[in-house]
This record gives sequence, structure tokens and C-alpha cells, in this order.
Amino acid sequence: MRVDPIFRLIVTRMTLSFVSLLAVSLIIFASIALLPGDTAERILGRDATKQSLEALRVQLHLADPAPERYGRWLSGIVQGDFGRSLVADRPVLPYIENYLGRTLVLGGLALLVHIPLSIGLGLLAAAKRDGPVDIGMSIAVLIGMSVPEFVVGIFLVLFLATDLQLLPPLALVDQARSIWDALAMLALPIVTLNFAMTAYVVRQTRSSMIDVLRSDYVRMANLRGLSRSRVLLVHALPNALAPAINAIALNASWLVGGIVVVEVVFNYPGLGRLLVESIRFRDVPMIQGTALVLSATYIAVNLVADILTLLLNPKLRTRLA
Amino acid sequence: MTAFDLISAQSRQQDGPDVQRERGAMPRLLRRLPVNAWLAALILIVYVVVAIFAPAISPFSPTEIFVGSPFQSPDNVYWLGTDNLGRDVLSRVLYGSRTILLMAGSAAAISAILGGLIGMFLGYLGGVVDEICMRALEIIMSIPSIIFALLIVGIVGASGPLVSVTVGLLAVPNVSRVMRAAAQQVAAEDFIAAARARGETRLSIVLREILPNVAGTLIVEFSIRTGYAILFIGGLGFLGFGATPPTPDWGLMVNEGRGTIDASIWPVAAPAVCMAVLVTTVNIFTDGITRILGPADTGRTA
Amino acid sequence: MTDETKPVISRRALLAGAAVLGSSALLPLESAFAATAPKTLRIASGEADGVKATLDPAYGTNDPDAARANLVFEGLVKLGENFDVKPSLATDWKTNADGSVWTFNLRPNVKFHDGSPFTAADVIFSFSRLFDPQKPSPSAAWLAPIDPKGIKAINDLTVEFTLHQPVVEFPDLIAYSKILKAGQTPEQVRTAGIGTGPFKVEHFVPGEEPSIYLKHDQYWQPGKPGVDRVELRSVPEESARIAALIAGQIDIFWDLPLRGLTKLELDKEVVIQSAHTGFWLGIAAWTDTPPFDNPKVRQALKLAANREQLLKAVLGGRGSLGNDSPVAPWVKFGLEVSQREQDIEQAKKLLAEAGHPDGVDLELYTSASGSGLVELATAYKAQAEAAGIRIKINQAPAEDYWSNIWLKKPFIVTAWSGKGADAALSRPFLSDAEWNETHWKNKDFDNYIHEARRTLDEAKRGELYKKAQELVRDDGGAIISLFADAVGATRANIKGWKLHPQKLSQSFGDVTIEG
Repeated sequence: MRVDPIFRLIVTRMTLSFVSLLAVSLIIFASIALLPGDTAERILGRDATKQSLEALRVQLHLADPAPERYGRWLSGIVQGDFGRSLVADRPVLPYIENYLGRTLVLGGLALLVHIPLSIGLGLLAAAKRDGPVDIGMSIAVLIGMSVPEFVVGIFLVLFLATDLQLLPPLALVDQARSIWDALAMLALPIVTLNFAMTAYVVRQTRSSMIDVLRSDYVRMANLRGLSRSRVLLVHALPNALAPAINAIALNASWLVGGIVVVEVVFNYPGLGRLLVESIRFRDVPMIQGTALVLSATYIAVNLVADILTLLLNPKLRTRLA
Repeated sequence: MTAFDLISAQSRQQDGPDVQRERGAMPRLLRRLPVNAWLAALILIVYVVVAIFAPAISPFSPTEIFVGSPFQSPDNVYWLGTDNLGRDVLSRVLYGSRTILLMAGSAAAISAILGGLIGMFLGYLGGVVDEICMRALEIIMSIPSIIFALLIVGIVGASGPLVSVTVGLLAVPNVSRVMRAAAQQVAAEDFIAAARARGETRLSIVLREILPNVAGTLIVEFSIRTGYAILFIGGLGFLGFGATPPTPDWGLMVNEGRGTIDASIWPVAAPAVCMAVLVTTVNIFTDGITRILGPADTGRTA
Repeated sequence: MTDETKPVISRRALLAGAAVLGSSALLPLESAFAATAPKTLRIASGEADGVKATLDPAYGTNDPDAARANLVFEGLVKLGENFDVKPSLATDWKTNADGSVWTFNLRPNVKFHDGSPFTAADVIFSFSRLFDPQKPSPSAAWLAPIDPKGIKAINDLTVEFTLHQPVVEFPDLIAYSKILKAGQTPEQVRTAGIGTGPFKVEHFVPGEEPSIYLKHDQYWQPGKPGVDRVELRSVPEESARIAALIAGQIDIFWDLPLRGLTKLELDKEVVIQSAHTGFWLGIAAWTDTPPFDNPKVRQALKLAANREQLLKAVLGGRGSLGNDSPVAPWVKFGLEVSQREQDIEQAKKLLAEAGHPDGVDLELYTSASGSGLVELATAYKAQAEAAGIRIKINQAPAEDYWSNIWLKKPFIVTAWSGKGADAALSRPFLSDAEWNETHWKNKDFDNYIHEARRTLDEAKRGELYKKAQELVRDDGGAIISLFADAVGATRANIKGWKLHPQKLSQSFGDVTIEG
């Protein structure tokens, strides 16, 4: 029986992702457990009482050898037990669930805006090539790639929220009366995220679109007298999309990391902010759980992006077959 | 083999690198550098000069507090005003350029040197070693860099060297991937086979035959990594995981100033603009030398 | 060729559809939206509140914890703005001849949130749990005079405390202790404690915001509270607090920065309130270490300060001048004397008399670990130059300051939160005080304090505390230069709220929302 090569590739990628996840869990655990110095002291500080240090050692089973602790942690995770937060004195998992949900909402909405926005802008730039629109766009792209996102976020809040009062400064989504209210509150973080991401895709789309527009295939279509928009949308776009989709996929995985900074800037209660806070508090079980779930999200997004890129790119499929 | 590899193979065939085989090709190449890249290079040189001579040109010490009253607007004594502790913003920004250039530069150098060596060896050696190492590198790339950086720096403790080394090491897999692809192309050439026949050691082949021919790609990678390192290190500084106060670190200055941004915008705006301009010029320069030196990794680290 | 001409629209639609499905589900929009919307008061603290948050008044550590506790619980007594004691769940109290036995009459007809009546048993429970040997509350340290076995219910509405040792200002001591309904476990109290306060807990998960509180229908004060619902959250960024007030997202902040308020001042929909507090900023020197061991040197240091200028530089003018006594003049038993002014000539003269005709060289430690500490050091350094006091400033890292510099270095910048007279004097200045940051051992001072603690007569007690303050002022090792104001703000339609000078004592039972 002939197995579809695409199917085989997907299975291979999924297996590799799973192995990566396992390796990542090992790296996360090791980086905390194997650092020099006494773990209990590092968590509680130098002037913690002997009693509290001992109590912590017992609670975290620090006397056991590291591999055993790793195994225990991992088997706990598989059964859904992420341990107990040292600071909250409550199980870690519900926190991760809630915070992850909110991060996914923000990231998802950002991507939802990002995909049509950036492809559209890229097409526009290619269509009006070398005109003022194109040049203006390439300057904007350059700025978007160069300005750090925390700077973008801070100044957007300053100008749009505080000075002009166009958008609410705090993302207090529970205060939203309707979905439009909620979106208005998330607008600033979404714009901030898109500032950085859009630049790459616009550049990719534009350059690959320009290449495609120069190709023989499109020249034929033009010579046949088809309307400009028809040529653009039906003949040129599909072939130009591949690198654009690749860039979008890379952005999606960048998003998992970049959202950490944006969540901190906007004080958004997402998993990124939780990670930063738990590191500050040295809350080891929470750090491990949060880092693992964020990495797993990153790996999953990469996997999906990889597969989608393969599926949506006709040239790559023929290459594989 | 990921989709990325397939696509970069595809784009390489479309553009074709302009790999020069002989020595002495550099000067001719440089003449083809576009104007905006020359301008960018000039601005970068200005940054470096400012960084080197910061102690001489700063009007005040960057850490001396209360040289003026807090939150003063720019005037002819304090060109960029003062911050919440009455420190001169201009002096802090000038000294901050040392911190960022040193840290980002060393991070990019670490990535380029280690990544270059690993990439070239893997590209040349091929075979099982290549397969295994590539898998290992892919696994390292599966952790979003910012999470790993936060873990290490947050737990060990923030310090300039630690941040530089961590950021540098995190980018090694990306650089190796690109250098490996470049080295693979060169490894297939005849003169490499000739060198092998002459009995040259592997190390010698990599350093004397392969390296000069992929040097362009390596330089482009170094340039790209510098840009990312500046953003990454700035971000870490902003989150409080970079240099410790009162060191004038631009990312840290933005963080320190943003709570009191209503009192004065300058402690935030000045370092932010300097960082943005620096990254912009690095990007323009990178674009320029990419055009003449060969393909580059257009992906991004998380 | 044909493969490539197949419309790509279907694939794009797939992408778009998946994205929509993925992100649509998670927005929380089922807020109760009845025909008459409840009056909701949205308040926010300025301190970050993470997963460490708790509702339990015995273990709360920060400002949001205190705010929560104040919404839900009440004490036997409460502190007014001048640290005077006012009745709350107790209506009146009396003591025996030497202040070792205190009897409180409890307010009748007070109901807990679940409708059960408030009785003496709840008082006994609330205090005993503070001394739980398994997990004692931090407040057990200063409540040491209380003998948990010595708390008796005389009847349902009368409680008697028999103390280990006499305490003449016992009501002051227990002013921060709250009363809970008897029988709750610590886990219950952490997130769903039952008290007598104007609001009851509707929803509180540590780490999740906001926490929600509903009006207590059977609250003992008639007509209160004036709102139906309270939402409490945290906004750590100062500029975000200002933005949120202007945008109308938050109704009350009680913790605003002292500087950078011009936007708020100009906004007509925002009302700013400020209050004098007893929070003092100053400089402390070890009185047993040269050159500070000579009282003339200490006086010279105090005379070198230009307090008006310090007020402007450090607090932007929002505060009041300190007179080297840790008790603010408007606080109960505060010393009222003429304000000490800068006198450079006298300072130089005193230094010369003390054997330093050419002035002194000193190293002053400070850090950015508290607002104003670094500004104070730098401003004072500039002022003291004129008197020949040459200061080198050592700025220590913020995380380290209170563990490694405070109490460990001879000349430091310090700050103390506002307290009543006894605590303000005894905690830093008693010879055997744990936090004696000036190493000052003055027998007369100790005697005054101890005698005051034995003196039931208020007037006499006041005299003793004033004498103690005079000693600190003239002989002590601390330059107490400034008392910081507290600044808060509300939306213009919020009525009935007054900013309490003690940050941790805010109350919201009297608030009403107009319109």
C-alpha cells in the first residue's frame, strides 16, 4: 500500500516534536536543578531560617537525586499534576490553564489581524511598486522591524490611550459590556504585536510578489489581456504566497516569545507574565510548569506552521512527491 | 528536513549567491554596496566612536544622582533633561551605548564564531555526525529563546557577561544552520576534493578552503545577529533581567522611566530612540551587504 | 500548471475559519446584566498582587491584602486619622487599675455575612488563631502581651482580656486585628472568609483579577454600604494608574505617586485628595560610633538640613516638615514646637566645639528601594556641604538594602511608616529595640516610655511622650526631616470617600456613586 508522502512527513514531524518536547522538559528541569549553589537557599534567600530551609527541602524532595526528581516531576505532569505553587500554596495547573487561555486569546487575535493585514499591505506595496506608497511602506517596515516592541507598546499607550483617549489603557476584559468593548481593550496589545510581525511578512510578500509579477507565467496572463486585478489575485498571488506563509509561520512562533514582553508592558494576565513573575518569586514548581507549557505551545505552533506551509505550498508538495 | 529547509533551498536557487572563489574579491564587492548601506555604516561608526569616547564627551557622570532637580525638561545644561533621580539623561544614554554595543557585539560574535565553526564542520563532514548534530540543534531551537534566557538569567542572577553569553549561545543553532548550508555548497566543489587528495587535515580544509568562501555569509550572519541581539538584550533589560541598576542600560532605562512617563517623557524616549535608530541602521547595513555577499537566514528567533 | 490554477481561496478560507474558531470561545461575557445594573465600585491598589494574595487578615502582607481585609472584616476598634481609637465592633471598654485586664462591651445585633450573630466566641476565636503554634501570624510578635488563654467571654456581648503584662493603650494595640466568624479553617479564610464588614466575598482566586465583593445586606450600620458591588484589582504601573483614572476604568486609587500628577489635576472628572501621614523619611546615624557619638555633631547634622528645600526636592512639595521627632505633630501626643530651621553657622560652630574645626567626611548609604530615599541623600549632601559636612553617597542595590545595609551601616537613609506615638518612638529608639537603627541608649528616654506605658491617665501619659520626643529631637541620632503626604484620587461621581492617611486602613463602606 502506498503511503502518502505528506502523511509520512506529518507523522515524522509530530514524532520529532514530541521528542523535542521531552528534551525541552529535561533542559528546563536541569537548568533549575543543576545550577550551582543550594536550591533551597536560592529560593528563600540567604537569611532564611534553618527551619524554613529544611521544610522547603522536604517539600521539594531536594534530598533525592536529580534524575529521580525529574522522573517524579515528569510522571506527575503526565497525570495532570503540575505540583504546588510555593507562593500561592495552591496547585499550579489551574493557574496555567487560566493564564494560558488568555495568552491564546491575545495571540490568536493578533494573528487573526496579522494575516490579512500583512498580506494585504504586501500586495499593495508590490502593486504600487516604487511609487510613494511603496516607499512609505518600506520605511514603515524598516521601523517596524527595528523598534523594540516594549517601546512601541509604551508609546502607543501614551499617545492613543492617555493623550488622545481613543482606546482604554488597561485590558480589563471583565469590564467589557460587549465583544466590541473587549476588542477595544485588547486593541493596543494586538497593535503592538502586529507592529513587529507585520514588517517581515510585508517585506516577504512584496519581494516574492514582485518576482512573480516578473515571471513568464504572469507576463503571459497580462498579454492575454486579463484585467490587472485578475492577474494579481488569481495568477500571481498563489505563487507568491509561499514565502509569505513561511514568514507568517515564523511570526507565529516568534509570537509565543514576543508576547511575554507585551504582556508585561500591558500588565495582561497571560502565561508570559506569569512566567516572569514566578521567576522573580523563585517559585520553582510554577516556573517549571509555565516554562514547559509555553515551550509546548511554541513547539505545537511550529509543528502546525510547518505542516500548513507544506500543505499550502504546491511547489513543495511536488518536490516531495 | 523542515519546510524551512525546503524553502531556503528554493530561494537560493532563485537568487543564487554571488560566491567569489578567489581572494581579493572583497574590494570589488564593496564598491557595489548601495548608498544607504554606506550611510548606515557611517552612523554605526558614529555609535561605536561615541561608545568608546563616552567618558570624554559626557557632560556628567551617568550614575551621579541629583546633578539637577528631577524631571527637568531639556535645556542648554541638560540637553535631554533629567530623570527621576536628577541624573543627566544624555550622559546615561551615551554610557548606555557602551553597554549595549559591548553586550550585543559579544553575543553576535559568540553566535558567529561558534555557529560558523559548527556549521562549516557539519556542512563539510556530512553523514551521521551531521544528522545527529542537526537533530540536536533543532531540539535546542525548540525552546523559545526568551524563555530560556529568562530561566538562566533569572535564576543565576543578572550580569552583563552572563546575558551576552546566553544570548550568543541561543543563536548558535540558527547561525550553524545557515553556515552549514553555505558550507555544503562549497564542499561539493572540485578544489575541496583536490585539497583532500593532497592530504590536508579536516581542520585545515575548513579554515583555509571553506571559510574564505563562506566568509561573506558569515559576515551577513554576524550583522543580522547583532540586530537581533540588540532587540533581545534590550527586551531583557526592560524585563529587569539585564544589567543591574544603576548601570545605564537602555532597556532598563525604559523600564525605570515608564512609571513616571507623565512627569517627563525624555528618560524613556531618549534611550528608546537611540535603540531604534541603532537597530534600524544595523538592518539597513545588513540589507546592503546581503545583496552583495550572499543568501542569509531570513527566519527569526523567538 | 493546472494544479497551480486551482483557486487558493478555499485554502485561505480554511486558514481564516480555523483562526476564528480558535479564538472565539474564550471571552468572558456572561456578566449579569439585569434591568437595573448594580452599582459597582471599581477600586485598585498600587501594589502588585500575584498568586501570593490572601483574604486572611492574620497573614496578609501587602496593600491589596489589607484592602481586601478592610472590605470584608472589622475589628473591635479602628484607628482614626490621628491614630486616635474609635469604637467599631466594640462600643466601649474599660480597664482595671493598672491596665492588665481589659473589658470590651460588644455591639449588639451585628450579623456576619451568613446571617449568624456576632458574639464573644468569635472574638476569642479570632485572637486565639493568631497564636497558633503551627503557623503563628506575624502580628503575634507585637501582640505578645495577649495571653490567648486569658481571653474570656463574660457573656455573649462582653469579652475580657487578661494580659501577660499591663498595656495602657491596649485598644491601640489591637486596632488592626480583625474579627472572623468562629470555626473557619485557614483554607476557608484565605479565599472565602466570613466577617462582619460592609462587603462579603463573591469571588476571589489568588492571582486572578478582579476579586469581587457584594453588599452585606445585614450590615450593622444603617444605610451602608452605599454601593452594591466592589471590584478590586492591582495596577502596579504609576502611569497606568493615572491613565486608568482619566479613562474612567477605575473609580478610586488611594496610592498615587506624589509627582507627575498634572494630567489628573487638569481633568475635571477626577478629584484628587491628599492627606498628611506619619510616614517619615530621614537619615540615621549610629550614636555609638565616631564622629556621631558626640551629641554636638548630631545636632550639627540636624541643623545643616534645609527642610523646606528637601520637601520640594524629595516629595515635590507634597508633605510636611519633620522636626526630628518621629511622631507627626498632628498625631495624638505629637510634639508641637517651633520648626527647626537650617542654621549653617551654628552647625559649623558645634562641629568646631566637637573637635572638627575643618568639618567632617562621612559616607552615607542609600538605595532606590523606596521612593525618595536617593533624592533625600543627594539633596542633603548638597545642603550639608556648606557646613563643612562632606558626604560621599554610596548607592546600594535596591533588593539588598533592608537586609544588608539597614541596621548594618553607621550612616544611612531610612524611612518609617506612620504609627501612633508609642510605636513610632519605641520601635526605632528604645535601647533594646530590635530595630534600633541609631544604637541610641538613653536611659531617660527608656524610662519615659516605660512609665508612659504604665500611666493610665491620658494627660500625664501625653506629657511623658512629649518629654521622650524632646529627647529624641535634641539628643537622638536621626534627622527626621519630612513626613510624606498620601495622595489618592476618585472619579468625580464618587462621593463619601475620604483618603485615610494610613495606606493600609482604607475603608469603602461610606462610598456612594452618583448618577
